[in-house]
Amino acid sequence: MARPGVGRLDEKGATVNRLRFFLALLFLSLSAGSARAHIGSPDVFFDGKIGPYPAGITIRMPAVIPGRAEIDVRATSEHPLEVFILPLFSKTAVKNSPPPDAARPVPGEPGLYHGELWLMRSGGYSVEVRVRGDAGEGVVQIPINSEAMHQLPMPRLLATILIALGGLLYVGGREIVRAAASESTLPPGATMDSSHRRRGRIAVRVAAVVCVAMIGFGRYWWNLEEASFQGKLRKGVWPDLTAETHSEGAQRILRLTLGEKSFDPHRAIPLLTDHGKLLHVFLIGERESGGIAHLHPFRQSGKVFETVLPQLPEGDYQVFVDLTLADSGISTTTTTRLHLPPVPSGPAGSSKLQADPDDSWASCPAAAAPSASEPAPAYRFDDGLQIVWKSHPPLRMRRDAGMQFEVRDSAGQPVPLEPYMGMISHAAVMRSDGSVFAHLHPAGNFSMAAQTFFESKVAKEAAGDTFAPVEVDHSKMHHGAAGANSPSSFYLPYEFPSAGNYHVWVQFKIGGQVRTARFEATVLPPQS
Amino acid sequence: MQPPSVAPASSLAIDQPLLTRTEASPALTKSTAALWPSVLFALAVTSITAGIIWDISWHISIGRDTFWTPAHMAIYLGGMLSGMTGGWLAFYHTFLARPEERNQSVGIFGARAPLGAWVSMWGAVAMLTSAPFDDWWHNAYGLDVRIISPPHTLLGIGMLGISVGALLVGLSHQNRTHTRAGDWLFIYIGGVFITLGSVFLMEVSFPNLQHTGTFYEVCAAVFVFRFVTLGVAGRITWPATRAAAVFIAIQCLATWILPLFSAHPKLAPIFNPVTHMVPPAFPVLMIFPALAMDLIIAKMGPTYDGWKGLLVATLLSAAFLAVFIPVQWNFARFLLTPLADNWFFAGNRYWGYETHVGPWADKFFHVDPHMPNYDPFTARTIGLSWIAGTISAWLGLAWGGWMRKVQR
Repeated sequence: MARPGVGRLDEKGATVNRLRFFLALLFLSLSAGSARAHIGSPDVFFDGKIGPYPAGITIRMPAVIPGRAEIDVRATSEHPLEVFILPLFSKTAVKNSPPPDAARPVPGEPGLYHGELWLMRSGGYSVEVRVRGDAGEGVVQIPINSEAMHQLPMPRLLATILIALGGLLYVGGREIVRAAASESTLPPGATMDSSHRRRGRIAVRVAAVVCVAMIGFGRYWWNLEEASFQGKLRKGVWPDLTAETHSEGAQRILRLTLGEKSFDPHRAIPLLTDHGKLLHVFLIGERESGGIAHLHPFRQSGKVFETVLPQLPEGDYQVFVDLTLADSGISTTTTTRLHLPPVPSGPAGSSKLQADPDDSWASCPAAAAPSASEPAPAYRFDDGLQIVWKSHPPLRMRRDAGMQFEVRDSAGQPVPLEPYMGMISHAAVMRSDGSVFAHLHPAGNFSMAAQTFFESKVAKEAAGDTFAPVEVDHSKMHHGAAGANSPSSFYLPYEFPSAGNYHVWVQFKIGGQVRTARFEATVLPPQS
Repeated sequence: MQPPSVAPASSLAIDQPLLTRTEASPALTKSTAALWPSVLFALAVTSITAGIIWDISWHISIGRDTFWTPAHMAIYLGGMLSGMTGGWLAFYHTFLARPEERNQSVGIFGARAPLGAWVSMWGAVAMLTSAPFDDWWHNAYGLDVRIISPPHTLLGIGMLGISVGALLVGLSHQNRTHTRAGDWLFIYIGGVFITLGSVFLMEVSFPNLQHTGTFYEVCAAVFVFRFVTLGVAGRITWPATRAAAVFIAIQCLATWILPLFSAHPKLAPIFNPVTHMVPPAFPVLMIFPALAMDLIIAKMGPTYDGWKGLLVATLLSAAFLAVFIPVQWNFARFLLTPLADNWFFAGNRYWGYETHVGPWADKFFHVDPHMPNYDPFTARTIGLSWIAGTISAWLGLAWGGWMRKVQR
């Protein structure tokens, strides 16, 4: 049975400390919400080719909208390049976009270009990156979610300064009113008598009443603004999710209900397929047994999805569901908890429901997981196969995690990999407290479905057609193959968003079988 | 008709006799009648006003801005100039001035300066406070694309303080010396004072909203107070009318000059691909109600105690509405016709880049009962506007009467 309230996982540390500037001139921290399109990991990464140029892109998302996204493009070329960046909003025509901005070369960093883009509306955007050089021109669409994810607290220093200035305004204003009512109307040289002073005192009292009324109104107004902002802030997970299981013979069936509160009750939740699947569901065991499954439920009705559960052991699981909305290109990860009952006894295969052929599961106990801090840590499978996290510098937050992996056989020789749902690898990253979850691929951590949404939008509008998103089956596209026929190594572009302990699961396919390896990573704070 | 003259020989609420031009001591006239503080304050409020009109146009034409845009610089310059001028006056009157000059100032916390200088400095501090507050507000709630927000209101209060301080500096000079230069500075700063008020009403006052009830209620509340204040405090003939002319001139200059400069939107989505700076809408024709109010104030004299003040306020509010409603109602109708779609009236040219300009652009808003935010002009509107205008006029009479007495 689902247990609501997992939203607290990503609200940790999000204590709402409203600042009461007008009344008490006391400023405190404000609330924080969660990130979306993954949980707690809002920045977007791309690795691949832009036209003829190998490139990596990092998009650092603003916490509030309207806000500025910072874009770094690292492109490889022997000659200088021109790099342009442009925000495309999902709900307006491409022709209504502003002229692209030039990303400027970063001094001292050959091949690195930097720019900023304003995201003015909430919803699905794409950052179009265009690279032009001697070898020609290339363009790529990187989908992002433009939504208020977090409310920045007021720094204590700023609060102190504002309180001081507010106090100065109050005290100064009071004395000005006193002088205005008493001394200001005296002819030059005349001195104040008691009547002038009395008038000054009365005026100060009246001004104090007016001041209190203004403070009250200001507080009321601020609360209205706060409530309006909170309405737009995606607190906790979104859309709402419930998970439950039931048995049919010897099979356990997972039933997910998505967006019952968040979407029109009479309409199906509109989804795009990502790697050919409507949903990507990760079940992650909360005990050290290390059960993990990557499943792809089927839609049973508008908001209900079901799949046959694999042979995961009984226990408590965290459920993470990745989806991309068809009407806006927004991708999101929602989550809940689930208690998995033991496998029931009964006739096998009694359910009409079949598992998706790309479903995978494994048991990766923590004890078997190597630490990323070891030199070249390797996860070893029972048959001698191993996956090695290649040498990398110590992991630090908001720095490239150096997630370069190679799969080797028991003799240490590289083993060619097969595509798994169109990718050489899928990976999941989860902070040990559940406050961060991200689904990674060699191409990046964005939704391929959302990328297709924007690519088809641009193409259709360029052809003069009315825009309607098209479905592209990325499971046939072999993203991340890096040009080699059967690579044995791959790179996952990612930066851990915060310091702490993380679990990293890496999936790949060999001999028609999906393998899942686990690593433990300790991420350090930024280097001071 | 004789122009109304409100120069008082005997103001009822003046408990100390004013120095007439002939009575003013030559030493005082020479040493303290210097106009440079008033001129600097006038420059400061001009810079602020130009900056804020420019900034609004920038936001709806280009969209993207930084701390360092010229419009922002103009606002900061105005704030700094007024703060520094006020600061210098405080330093001078506290430490350097001769006793007769010190006697033309008021004391606050042991320091001395003309009252207007203190008010201007207070306004500059309010503007200074609003800057980090506004910056934090953008980071906490997102960049606001509205004029009216809490930090912008604090900024507006600061600007109001500076304009009031400038008026007071000019007034104390005018009240002591009666020079023509002082009169004109007062009128000019008064026009800027009106303009600043109108800028903060921009979101409820563009022509398509000029048939709603809210428009007339807000105009009565905001403009009547300002015109009555100027009408009572001014020692020149037709003070409110002249200030209204300055206000209209400033707004017209903005309407005519801004579109001369090329500009292209740099934020999305762009529904109206403007190629030049977007002008503000043609100003409301305040000169006509201001004329009516000047006539009444001239007729009634400069003092308004007790019931007389309330009765005159009621009359001023009624006169304002009686003139303003038919004039602006019909002028708004004209502004939405193709005849006004030219550089002079800027009809249909005040839409920013984010506006889907369509057939609705030449229609009045919120006057269809089947549409949301229905806000018709009704008898209730007239009643509410009259009440708001009466309160506004009563406050203006009181404040203007006090300003008329300010000596320091």
